[in-house]
Amino acid sequence: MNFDKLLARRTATNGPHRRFRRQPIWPPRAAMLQLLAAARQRNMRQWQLFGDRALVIELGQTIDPAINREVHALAARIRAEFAGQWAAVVPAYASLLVEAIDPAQLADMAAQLPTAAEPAPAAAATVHRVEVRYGGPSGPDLPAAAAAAGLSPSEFVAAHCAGSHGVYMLGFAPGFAYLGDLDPRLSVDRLATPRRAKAGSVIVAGRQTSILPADLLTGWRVIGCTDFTLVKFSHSEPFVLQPGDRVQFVCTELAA
Amino acid sequence: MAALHILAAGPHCTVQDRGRRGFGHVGLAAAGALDERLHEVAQALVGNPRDFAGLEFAAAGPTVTAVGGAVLVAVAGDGHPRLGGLPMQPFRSVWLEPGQILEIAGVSAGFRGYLAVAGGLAVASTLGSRASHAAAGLGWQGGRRLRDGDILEVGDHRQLQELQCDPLPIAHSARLPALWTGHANELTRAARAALIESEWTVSPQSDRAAVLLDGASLDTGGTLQRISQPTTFGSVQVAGDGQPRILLCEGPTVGGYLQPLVVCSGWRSVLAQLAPASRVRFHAVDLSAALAISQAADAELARTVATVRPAWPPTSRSLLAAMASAGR
Repeated sequence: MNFDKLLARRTATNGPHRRFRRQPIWPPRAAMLQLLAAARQRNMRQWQLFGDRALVIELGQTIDPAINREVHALAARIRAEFAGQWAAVVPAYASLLVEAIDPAQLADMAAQLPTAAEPAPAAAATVHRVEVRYGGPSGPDLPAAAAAAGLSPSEFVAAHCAGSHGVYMLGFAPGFAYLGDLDPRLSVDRLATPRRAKAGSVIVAGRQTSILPADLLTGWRVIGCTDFTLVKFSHSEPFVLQPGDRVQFVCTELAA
Repeated sequence: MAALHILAAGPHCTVQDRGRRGFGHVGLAAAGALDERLHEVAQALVGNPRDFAGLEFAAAGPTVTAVGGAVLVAVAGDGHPRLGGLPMQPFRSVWLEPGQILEIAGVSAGFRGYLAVAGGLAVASTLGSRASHAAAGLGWQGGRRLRDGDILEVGDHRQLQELQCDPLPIAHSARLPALWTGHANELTRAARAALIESEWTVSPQSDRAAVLLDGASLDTGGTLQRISQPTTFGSVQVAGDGQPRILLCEGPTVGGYLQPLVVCSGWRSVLAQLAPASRVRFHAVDLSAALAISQAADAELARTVATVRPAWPPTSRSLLAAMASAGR
């Protein structure tokens, strides 16, 4: 196929709209727009097109446990109600992406997709105990991060280990868990230039903390290292941390 | 068991199939063949289902030979393959005898090509796929690139006859049709205009995770960072330095940068074939135009795969197989 020629044919210079009115192509543009408009009217919250295969809904703009619970409840509802129609359902902090298997069904899906869900009652969360060696060669950025926060390294570590952190989502790399409830005093900027850090690195950036599941490039600051295994590809449930779980960091070593 | 012996691997040769799909919610991008159309044609030419594993190469292809038995192979894409020193007829499979050398040179039209073997590459499958995903450490030998001297075993198969089909042109276009997303509202009017009107150059640092674009730096007015949001194949992310990049099939599944445009899914093969230093422009289209584009691309692929037929002239091994099956 001559891709340039195809594109020229589909988007003639006098604008796509006039062109399509004269020469309707399948699926009918008017019907599609009607469906999308109907979907918008029914819902205050709107699905937004995200390319020609996916829709995104935003439930908020902040890292908030209640919003995040609703995102996961909505993801579960869509997975169940639209089984066989989605290629991917990807929840994030406060937004959700649904990719359709057949792009021609996207408008139909948009008209039917729910935009709200009742979060599951907060059950007792699984708490994972993660033992960390802080500072020294295991956590080269600890002194700088503590200084930026105006704390001593031991105060920084104590605050990092105080209380558990909720898993908001998995993303970025397989098994990488976004833990979002970091003490605001520990909020530090990302590095200007990302650099390679090894698997097991315990990292912080802004009000988030996490553990690297593999050797990866990261702009987050490395404050420690753990032997905790995040991904077991040979198991039937390969990803150890799941949204809704909690992580309790435990300091086993603090190098000066 | 027959196997493929990699005499020279070339710069970016990996084992790929159609990828691990549906794991975005755990942070795992699909990986798999970037140019699905060429991958599918190559697999069809050796009688495999389209989800079998083959080799993907970029910039330059590998030099291979068969060990432990003959192997039915096909190459899709540019790269001027030569079998035993003679140019190979494009869009057909051929028996590679032990000791015979298949040499794939530099790719001049497009950027990526595919080598398929009948029976597929018999590497271990993880989460339902054999695709290499380097950052995740998934796939054959941790998803690493092939090196000189590697040996890859080939699966069992019943395909004995060589096949050919009508040629499928390399997907090529200097214009990338894309849809605006809700994120575009957070860019200034000037930045939106610059994104659409500027000409961008594909950076040599591009890889299977993203096509990096060099050109005018977008003035993003400091609105770039938001809380992390899902990404998709073809998302145009505008990073902190104002340079856009197009996420591909091995990119991050969520990201905190704005994604004001998403390239049409029918153009994924074009993205796969963007060579470093080629120049591209974005072109805003609406949903119905995007759907028409992807339908046309799918239809062309289906037409090509439907033309797969016994190859002429066959090699003696293929001819004997045809005679044996006719005699039965």
